[in-house]
Amino acid sequence: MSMLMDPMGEATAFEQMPGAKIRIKDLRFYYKGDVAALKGINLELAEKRVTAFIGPSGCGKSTLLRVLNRIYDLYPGQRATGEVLLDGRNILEPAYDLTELRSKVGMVFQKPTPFPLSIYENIAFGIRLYQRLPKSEMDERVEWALRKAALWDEVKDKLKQSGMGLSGGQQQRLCIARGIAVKPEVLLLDEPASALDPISTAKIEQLIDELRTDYTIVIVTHNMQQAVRVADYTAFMYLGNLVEFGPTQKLFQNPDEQQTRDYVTGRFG
Amino acid sequence: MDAALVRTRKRRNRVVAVLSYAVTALGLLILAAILWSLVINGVSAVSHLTLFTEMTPPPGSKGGLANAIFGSLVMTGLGTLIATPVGILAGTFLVEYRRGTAIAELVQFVNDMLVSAPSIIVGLFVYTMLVLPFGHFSAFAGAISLAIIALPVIVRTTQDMLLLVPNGLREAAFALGAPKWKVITTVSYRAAFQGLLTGVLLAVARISGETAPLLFTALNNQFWSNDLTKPMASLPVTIYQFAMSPYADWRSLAWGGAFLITFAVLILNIGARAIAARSRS
Repeated sequence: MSMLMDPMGEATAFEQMPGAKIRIKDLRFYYKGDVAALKGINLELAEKRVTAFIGPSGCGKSTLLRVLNRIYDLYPGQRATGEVLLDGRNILEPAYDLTELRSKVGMVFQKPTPFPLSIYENIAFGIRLYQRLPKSEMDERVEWALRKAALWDEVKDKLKQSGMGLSGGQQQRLCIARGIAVKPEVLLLDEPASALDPISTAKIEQLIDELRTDYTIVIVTHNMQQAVRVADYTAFMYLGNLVEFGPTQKLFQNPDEQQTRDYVTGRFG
Repeated sequence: MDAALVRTRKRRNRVVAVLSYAVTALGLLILAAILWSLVINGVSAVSHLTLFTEMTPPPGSKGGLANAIFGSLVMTGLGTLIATPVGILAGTFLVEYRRGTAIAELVQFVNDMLVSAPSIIVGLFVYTMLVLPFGHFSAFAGAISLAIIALPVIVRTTQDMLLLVPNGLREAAFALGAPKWKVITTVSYRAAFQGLLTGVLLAVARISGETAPLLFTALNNQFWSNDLTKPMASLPVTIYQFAMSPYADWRSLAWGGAFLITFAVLILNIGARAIAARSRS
């Protein structure tokens, strides 16, 4: 955990926040026209830590996530203003190469999205976009990614079978493996467990816990308990604003804002 | 709840159910009747191997349908080969590149008009474009007119099938950094493969029975011809010519031809389903 406990179990001091991997400055986002879905977000996402975005439906948490790899670019009319600095470079600059950005920032969606390809090809698809590997190295990389996503033992005998045939939880871990396989630095998880049963959810959370040492992880979640379990830092959003950001324990136990307190104690939302 | 209301609902439910069953049964009955009369009348013609080896005969003598079968295969095949890439690319353009725009709406509107355009108009169009200027009928003109009929069918089904591909799948591929063409060819086409194949086969089924456009373009030929610039025989035109004739031999051959077309389309469909089923597992 990201805080120190005294013998009484009370939080006394929080870890100095490590360097920021992503710096968001005065970010505004418009789906169309000039109605802002994000109204000036300022936020730093710590390197190799897990940051959770929480808040009621429509608060902009998924929107914020979708800015971080510019997936919104697919939809003409959607636009973002302000700055999102990834290692100091503004990814909102039109000149920022999207392929490069997405090789650094991977994303896993709410609904599992295995491609209609074999399990092996699902993983290899992403790798082939960036590298031409000989067969043996490709095999190794696929195995590495599947092991990393804690899926290898379950699928090693059926790599040639379709990824669509896996269970929902397995499909989601396949998607995480696919994201990891291209060796990104940041992983964006958009409610990765909300479509899964409790056992699969536990596996995904365990996986996040194992990945936190290597990746900067940003997770959007509806489930506040999940944020407590997996996140080092939490951002509470409401109506397109960032209400409060801080270490997860502090935000849940002793928030500065009344709004945050009301939300995390279930009084609204 | 009010008991009378419940009774009314149940009664309505029963009426609708009975009506749907009745209409389905009627449709199946008509289909079965057609297939049955084809089998009864066609099987004797098809059971002679000469049907596949001999040319269409002059009245009063024995013969087969070899040249017409060959002509149908060539023109249907060529028409499909022309229409498939164009149709799939046009459908791709509408869904993947211009979804929801005015130009897409316009193209779709025109395409829908083409789907329901009378095939005889298509025949006349190709007649003025590719027959009159050259001064003679040709198999190539026949293939083009079939392609024009197949095209809107393929565009429409491609469009429908690509729209069924969940957007999340595309986003996931883009999120990995894949370029658009890669997303379309590996993800969208793969996900829609079964539907695209069905669309093409639907088009093949549609054009393999077309008569009117071939009458004005490929005309007919009593002899074997594999020259695309010359008139070519086809099953539908031969059926048209033979079925109305007073000669029993010709009428029997017409039944044989009808049997062939219908069951070829049936086998084609079953085969496509088998391929699609295998590709899914």
